[in-house]
Amino acid sequence: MSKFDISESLLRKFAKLIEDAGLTEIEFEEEGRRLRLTKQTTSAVVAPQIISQGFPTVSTPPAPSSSDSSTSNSVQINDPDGFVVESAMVGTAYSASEPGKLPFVAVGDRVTEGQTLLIIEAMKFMNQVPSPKAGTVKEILFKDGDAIEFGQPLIVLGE
Amino acid sequence: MAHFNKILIANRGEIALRILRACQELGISTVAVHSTADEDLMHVRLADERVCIGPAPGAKSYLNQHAILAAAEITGADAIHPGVGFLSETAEFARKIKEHGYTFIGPSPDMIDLMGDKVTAKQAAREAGIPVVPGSTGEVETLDEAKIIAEEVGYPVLIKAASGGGGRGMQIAKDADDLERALSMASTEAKNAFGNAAVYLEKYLANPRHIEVQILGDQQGNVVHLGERDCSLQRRHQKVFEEAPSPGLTVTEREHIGEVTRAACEKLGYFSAGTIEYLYEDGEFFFIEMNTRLQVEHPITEFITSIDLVRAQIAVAAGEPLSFKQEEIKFQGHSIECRLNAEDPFSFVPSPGTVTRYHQPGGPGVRVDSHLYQGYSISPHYDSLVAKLVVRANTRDECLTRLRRALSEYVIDGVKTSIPLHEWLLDQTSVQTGDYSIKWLEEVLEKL
Repeated sequence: MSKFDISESLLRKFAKLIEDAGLTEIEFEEEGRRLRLTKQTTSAVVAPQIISQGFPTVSTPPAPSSSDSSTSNSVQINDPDGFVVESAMVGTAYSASEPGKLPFVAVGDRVTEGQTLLIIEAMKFMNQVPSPKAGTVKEILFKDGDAIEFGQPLIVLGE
Repeated sequence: MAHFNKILIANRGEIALRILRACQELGISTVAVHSTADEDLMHVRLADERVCIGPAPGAKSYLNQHAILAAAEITGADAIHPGVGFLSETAEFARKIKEHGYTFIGPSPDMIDLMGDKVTAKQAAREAGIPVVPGSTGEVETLDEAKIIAEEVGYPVLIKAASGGGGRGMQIAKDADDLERALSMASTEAKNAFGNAAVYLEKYLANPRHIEVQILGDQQGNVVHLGERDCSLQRRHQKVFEEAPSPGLTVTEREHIGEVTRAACEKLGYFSAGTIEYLYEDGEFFFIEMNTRLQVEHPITEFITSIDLVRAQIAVAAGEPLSFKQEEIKFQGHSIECRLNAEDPFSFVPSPGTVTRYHQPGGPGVRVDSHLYQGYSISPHYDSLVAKLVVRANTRDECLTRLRRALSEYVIDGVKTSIPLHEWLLDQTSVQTGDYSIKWLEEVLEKL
């Protein structure tokens, strides 16, 4: 098939050698023909990993009521089948229309499409976040006063 | 020195990393804002805080003024650095930042407005004492009128469509006998292409160089110039290779244009970093435009002056006066920058993808401004500039040798880059002697 006649068994032998000896690369040269096998290693990523998961992405939520100083976007979603409502904007999330009022929704509530789930304040504007569909509130992933990023999961809806 | 506690960097890529580095050296906290495609950017990893502001398309993230201001609000940043490109020359953004109580790290919004409009910029430049391309003040209607102006500015002259662009409706008249032909052809082309036969006339520059002068001003009215950069090596109006000082200027010309530019910016009341771009031919300079922001090629100026431009921008924005006077600025040695894009080196087709191996050059006089690292995936959504290789040496010849050495050390596997283009450039006699104009690169590339 080719002028470069290298058998599969030879390749397998090299591959095994790379694995066994913990090598990342083998180069084999004979009569002007050259073969190089390299192994992609994830550990080769040398960039600094200073910011790891769980590190506060937005560490200064403006709401004084929030005792937890570290907000994190690496939230745990428990219901993998649920429909995740994500934030379409950057801002501060509020679960109620004003302090002391009842929250818009609580876990277990039935919501209709278009019903307000929360408010995100951005640049002094209060933006109501409507429910994209009808369903039941399974999880609420933010706390009142949290700083919110674009695309951050906010609420999980179920059937 | 810092009056700022936290700076939000409203940009991405190598320039965002450059700004982050300046902030860190000044002990200022940083906020990186990024799109969903840029979570793995180097400066996002290194920033103290990061906020995702939108989806991958720049229009919805890095150009989203509202989202950037909201990010400043939730992080408590006190100043915003716009970098280059994106919102760096949008007066409305600078104005909004001010209105919301933050500091824009750049000139005043009114200055951005003034210099952002071709007509007002040229007028303001002329009034401040900057030389502009001589020609008709408006439309040229008759052959007689054209003859009078052409005699004044000197042949050859260029007849251009008033509503033109892209080279259409453009004719060169070599001499007075050629003027009638050029005028009628340009006018007809203009009418066919743009539905408007109006044309104007200006001096034609056959083989100019692109020379730009870096200036720096404070809010107390002091302005200094940091010398010139020669950015004549361009392809489709994109700079490829820049050097400072220019190999095409005499000492007298250099000092003259530096002082003219400095004095004009002082008259304009300009503060922050800014650059005035000129076309240079036969000892004369002609205004192209003013960039009211940091320039991509600023490191070559930093190398020959030992002045950190980003640091100076931050200090000036915080209201501090410049810490040096014009006569204290020392120009030492020579510096060259190569722009490395993720693209085919000769066909210029973009080459996004994952960097499988990465090793950057080092050693004396070498600086690399790049956000690349092994395993980084270059996104197809943004500008293809991935690295700037900048070298400095005592003489231009040493600088070229050092550049060749540094290019040979650079390893970027997994994507195509401009490294081979720069290696090829170093083999060209015109580059070695510094004898090139803004047309040279495009012309030789066509012949390849």
